Amino acid sequence: MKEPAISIKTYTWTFLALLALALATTLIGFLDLGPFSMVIAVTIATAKAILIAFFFMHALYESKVIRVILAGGIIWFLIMVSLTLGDYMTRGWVLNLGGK
Amino acid sequence: MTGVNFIATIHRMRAPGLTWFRLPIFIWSMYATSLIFVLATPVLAITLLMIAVERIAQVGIFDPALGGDPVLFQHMFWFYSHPAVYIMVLPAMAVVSEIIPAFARKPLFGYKAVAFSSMGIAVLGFLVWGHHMFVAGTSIYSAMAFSLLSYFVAIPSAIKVFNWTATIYKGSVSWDTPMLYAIGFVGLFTIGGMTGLFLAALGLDVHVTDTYFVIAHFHYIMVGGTVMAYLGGVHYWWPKISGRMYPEGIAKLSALTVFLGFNLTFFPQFVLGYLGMPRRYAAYPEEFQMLNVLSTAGASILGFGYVMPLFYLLWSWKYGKEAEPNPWRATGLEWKTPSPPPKHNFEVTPTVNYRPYDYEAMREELGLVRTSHS
Amino acid sequence: MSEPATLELREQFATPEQQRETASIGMWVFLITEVMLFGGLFTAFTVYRLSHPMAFDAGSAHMEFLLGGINTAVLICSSYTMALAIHSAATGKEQRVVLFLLATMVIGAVFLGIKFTEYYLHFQDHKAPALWFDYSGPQAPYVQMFFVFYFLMTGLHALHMTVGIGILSVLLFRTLLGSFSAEYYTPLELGGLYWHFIDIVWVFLYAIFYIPGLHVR
Repeated sequence: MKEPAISIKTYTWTFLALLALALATTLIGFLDLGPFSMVIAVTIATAKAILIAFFFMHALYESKVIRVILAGGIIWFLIMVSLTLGDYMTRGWVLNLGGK
Repeated sequence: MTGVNFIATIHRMRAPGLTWFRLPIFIWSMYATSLIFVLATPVLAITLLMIAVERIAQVGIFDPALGGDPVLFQHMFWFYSHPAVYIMVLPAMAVVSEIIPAFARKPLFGYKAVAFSSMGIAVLGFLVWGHHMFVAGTSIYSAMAFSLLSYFVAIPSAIKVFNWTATIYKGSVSWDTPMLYAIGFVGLFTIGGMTGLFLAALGLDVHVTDTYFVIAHFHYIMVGGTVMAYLGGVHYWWPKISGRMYPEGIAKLSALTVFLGFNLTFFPQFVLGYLGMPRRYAAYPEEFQMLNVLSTAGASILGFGYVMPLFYLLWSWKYGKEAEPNPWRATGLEWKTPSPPPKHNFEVTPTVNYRPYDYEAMREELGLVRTSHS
Repeated sequence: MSEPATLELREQFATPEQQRETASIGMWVFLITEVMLFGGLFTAFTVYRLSHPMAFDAGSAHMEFLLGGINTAVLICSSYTMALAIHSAATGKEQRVVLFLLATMVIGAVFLGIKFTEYYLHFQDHKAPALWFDYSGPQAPYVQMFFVFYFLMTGLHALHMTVGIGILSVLLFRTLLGSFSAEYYTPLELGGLYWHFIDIVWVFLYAIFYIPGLHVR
C-alpha cells in the first residue's frame, strides 16, 4: 500500500485557505476599485484554482507530463483570449504611416 | 476522445524500447494532430452551442440584428477552423514521411527536424486564425500580427518539404504507386503552401480574398496534398490491411490520371481568382468562361481517376495476389506482423532497440538485394 | 500475457503503475478540452465585458449575492470531502470512502438546489432572457447580454455538476460492490479530478458574475 503523497493535514489547510480566499474576494468586492475590481477578483480566483489543482488534484505530485498538460491548457486558453482581445483593444488606435 | 486516446497511448503505452526518437514520424504527426484535436474542437463545440442558444432563445450573441457581434463569431469559428486544416494535413504529411523512406530505401533525412516541425505546425497553427478575417473589420494591428504569424507557420512545412526531398536524393528509388502519390504530394503541396503565403500578405489578400484564388490554394493542399497522400497511404498499406496486392499497372495509370485531372481542374482557378472571379457564384461573366470549362473538364478526369481505385481495390480484395508480411521491404513494426494482422496485432509484444528507418543496418533482415554500385 | 487480466492490471499494460498513469494522462487531457470549452465562453464574455463595462456591472448588481457566496463555500466543502474520499481509498478505508462520496454528492445536490433557487428568483425578478426579461435602465440590450452569459455559463456548469453527481453515484455503487482497494482506486481518482475541475470553473464564474456587482449595490 503506497503511502498517499498528500496528508489529511495538507488537505485541511488547503480547504481553509480556499474558504479564506473566498471570503477575501467577497469582502474586497464591496470596495469600488474601478477597472481593478475585475483584475483582483480574477487574480484571487486564479490563486484558488492553483490551490485546488496543485493539492486537491495532486498536480504538484504527479509526473512532469501532467504538469505540462495542465500548463498547456492554460496557455492555450490565454492564446485564445489575448489574440481575440488584441483585435478588439487595438481597433481605436490610429495607424500613422508617416506621409501627410 | 480520439485525441485523448492517442495522446495517452503515445505517452505511456509504447512497446518496450520504443523511445520518443525511435517512433516513426507517422506517430509524431498523429501526436501533433491529436494535440490540435483536443485544444481546438471544444471551441467549435461551444461556438455552436452559443449559436444554438442564440437561435432558440432569440437573444443576440453573434447576430447583429439582435445586438450581437458577428466578428466575435468569426474569431471563435476560425480559432477552431484554422487548426482544423492542420488536423487534415498533418496525417497526410505523416503518410508521406513513411512512404518516401520506404521507396527511396533511405532513412528519412533530418528525423528530428521533421518530428519537431510537426509539433511546430501544431503550435503555430493556433496563432494565425485572424488571416481569415483580414477584410472582416478587425483592427489593422491585429491583421498585421496575424499576417506575420502566418508567414512563420509556413516554415515548419517548408522544413518537411526540404527533408523529403533530401531523403530522395541519392536514394535507391522505386516508382511504385504509393511513391508516385507521395511525390505528387510534395510538388502540389509546395504550390498550395506557397500560394498560402500570397494570401498571408495583407495587400494581396484584399485583392484575392473570397475569389477562386483561395479555392485553388486550399484545393492544392487538400486534394493535391491530403487526398493524394491518402491514396498513397491506401495503396501502401493495402497489402497489410487486406492481405492482397493491388494491380500495379492500373494503379499507376490512375495515379497519373488523378495528377493530370487535378492540375487541369485547379490551376485555372488560380488565374480565375486573380482575374477577379469571386467564389460561391454559379453564374459568371463571359470572360471567365474558358477557364471554367477547362476546370470542369479537369474535374471529370479527376473523378474518373478517383473511381478507378475503388474498382481495382475491391477487385483485388478477392482476386489479388496474396501479400507477404513485408511486400515493400520497409522498416516499421507493422511490417513484422502477418498481412492482415491477427487480433492482438502481435503474437509477442515486440521490443524495439534500433533506430527508425535504419535501412542500412536492416538490409539482411529486410532481404534487400545488394546493388553493385553505391 | 501469462496472467489473466484483472481490473488492477489490464492485458495491454505492463505494470499497474503504467495503467494508472495512462488513465491519469487521459483524464487530464480531457479536462483540458473542458478548459477550452468553458474558455470559449469566458473569451466571448470578456469581449463583451470590455466593450460594455457599465452594462455588465449593472447586470451583476442584480445577482443573488448571498446565495452565490454560500454556493462558493458549498462547493469548496464538496471538493474537500472529495479529496478526503480519495485519501481514504488510498489508505484502504473503504467505509470512509463511502461516507465521503455520499457527503460530496449531498453537498453537490445542495449546490444545485441553491442554483435553481437563484434561477427561479431571477425569473421572478424579470431577469431571465427569452423567458421574461425586463430592464428599464440604460443599455438594456447589453444588460440582457450579461444575463444571457450568466444563464449559459452557470447552466453549462450546472449540467456538468449534474453529470458529476451521476459519476459519483456510479463510483459509490462500485465502491459498495468492493471493486476498489488501496492498490486500485483509479476510477475514484479520475472522478475526483473531474469534480475538482468543476469546482475550479465555479471559482471563476463567481469572480466574473458576482463580485463586480457587490460594489454597485
